[in-house]
Amino acid sequence: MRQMVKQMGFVFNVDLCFGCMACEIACRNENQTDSTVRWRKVSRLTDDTFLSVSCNHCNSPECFRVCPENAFTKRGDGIVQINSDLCTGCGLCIEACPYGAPQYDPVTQKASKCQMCYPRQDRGLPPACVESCSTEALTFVDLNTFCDKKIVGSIPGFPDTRLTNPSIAFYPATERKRYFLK
Amino acid sequence: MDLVESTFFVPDYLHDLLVASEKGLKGICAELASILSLPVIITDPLFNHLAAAQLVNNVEINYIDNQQEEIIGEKPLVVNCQFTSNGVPINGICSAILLDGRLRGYLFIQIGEDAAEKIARIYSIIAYASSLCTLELRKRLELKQERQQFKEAFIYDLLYGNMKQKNEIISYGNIWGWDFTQSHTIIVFSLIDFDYYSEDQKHIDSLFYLIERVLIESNLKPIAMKKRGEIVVIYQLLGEEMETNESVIKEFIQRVKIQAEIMDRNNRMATGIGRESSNPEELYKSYQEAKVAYEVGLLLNIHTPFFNGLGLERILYKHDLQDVKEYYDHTLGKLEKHDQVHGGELMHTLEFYAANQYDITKTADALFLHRNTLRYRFKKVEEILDKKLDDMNVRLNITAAFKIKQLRKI
Repeated sequence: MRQMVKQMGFVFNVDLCFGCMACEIACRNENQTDSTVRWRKVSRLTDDTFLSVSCNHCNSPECFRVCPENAFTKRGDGIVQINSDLCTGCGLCIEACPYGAPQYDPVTQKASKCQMCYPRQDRGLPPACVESCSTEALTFVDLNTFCDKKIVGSIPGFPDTRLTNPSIAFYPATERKRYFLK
Repeated sequence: MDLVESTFFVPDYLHDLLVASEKGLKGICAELASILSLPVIITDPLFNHLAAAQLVNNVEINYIDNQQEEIIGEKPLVVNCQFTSNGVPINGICSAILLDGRLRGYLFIQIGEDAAEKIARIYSIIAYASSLCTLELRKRLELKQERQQFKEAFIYDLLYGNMKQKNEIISYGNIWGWDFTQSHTIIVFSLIDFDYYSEDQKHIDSLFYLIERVLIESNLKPIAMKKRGEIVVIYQLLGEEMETNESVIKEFIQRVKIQAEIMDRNNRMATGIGRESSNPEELYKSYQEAKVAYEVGLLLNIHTPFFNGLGLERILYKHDLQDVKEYYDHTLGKLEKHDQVHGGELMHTLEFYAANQYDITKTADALFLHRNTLRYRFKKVEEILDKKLDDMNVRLNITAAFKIKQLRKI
């Protein structure tokens, strides 16, 4: 039977992330990727804010559009998957993605990307990156039903979302009331 | 009758109405008309008849007395309204049918002369019938949502090319009476500046209902789904020639637009149309194209943007941002800098020149300038850019650079 249409997506709270990189390490550990392949990347936005980004499983994925082998599919739950059997490693998806999600794997000589840990999700578990986030800065929800007036579609430092309509939402940085002395 | 008995007494006509509600809106309509001995009409929010009883002639609803905001309160008000029956205006009363605080239809009773007087006397039975209609509409809606879930999963797979077998698509489509042996195209509808956390989601729901209605009126079985802020329609094309199909699609969109404006005066609907596909496996391409046409249409103010009708824009829109910025700077950067330093209008003049197909007379008319003034300015542009404006390749580069600017890439 066909499953109900969902759009699973990440929600990132800028205030809660302190750049520990646990999500990035958990992703690498779960998927056993090569040391040069970063499906999830944590980068510094400003002096005290960070951004953790992986594939955003876009509504209009560019990788899906440009792939000459039709190796990409979008599952009913919104996860964009790559079929490595069809991938020839041409690199078009790597160039097209505004978020740098597909990565070239030198071992397999093909493109690979975050698959939102769908085997874990099928077992009822959250993606490894979400589970590893100790401050709950990174969560994941069904964006078709999730509703919170505080969230925004993009934050400064995040690439233009107009083209691909990514499945990520943000709690933007708020003005801090307390500072820790360094 | 003692006090307890009179307190809990349920009149026969209420019981009859409740029993009649088993037969749906038609049952409620017929029973209410028989109790009141007056014609009754139940419509959707667009005044399309859902059920009617005891009508002598065709009835058109002209206006409802109160503003919509007053009708849609916590408790539906019963207000005056006016119909036209066989060209003759007739007074009536109307009650809104609300479901979860949203307008789902109207209950009209044709009364005649003394409408205001009668409202007070039959108010409570109309409110009761209106509540029964709400229950019936809720039942319908739940059933429809249940069915829609399966349809949506199928349409979703079509839109993302997850179904690779043509025969499988055709046989699945047959379940709902959709003929995928015919050509189809994708039409995307959305609201400009859609805000998920405002009332916009309700507007999308109403628009979805309206689109389904217009498709049914066009004798087409609606293949449509809502996807967050957009409505995707897989439109069946019956003609073979592209021009005929385009005019049919334009007419369909125009009808939706007119109806949407009736429903909501501040309607912000925009649309995009992909290319025709005779192979249902490749409908996902048409969907991607429709979304590009939608975005480009918004940027260039095209009312009904067909992907087929987009020229250079469709390449520039998707092209790498850094690359197009460099191209723009390389082509017009010097001129832009000159204008900034000297406060000139050379960029503006050149833009008009390009928009008027490099025709000096047309540009002079458009800018209210003398042709010689224009010639002087173009000479200056040629000096700054160090290029000849009558060279075809230079013109092509300038046109492309202005298109990049229009597409807000800069």
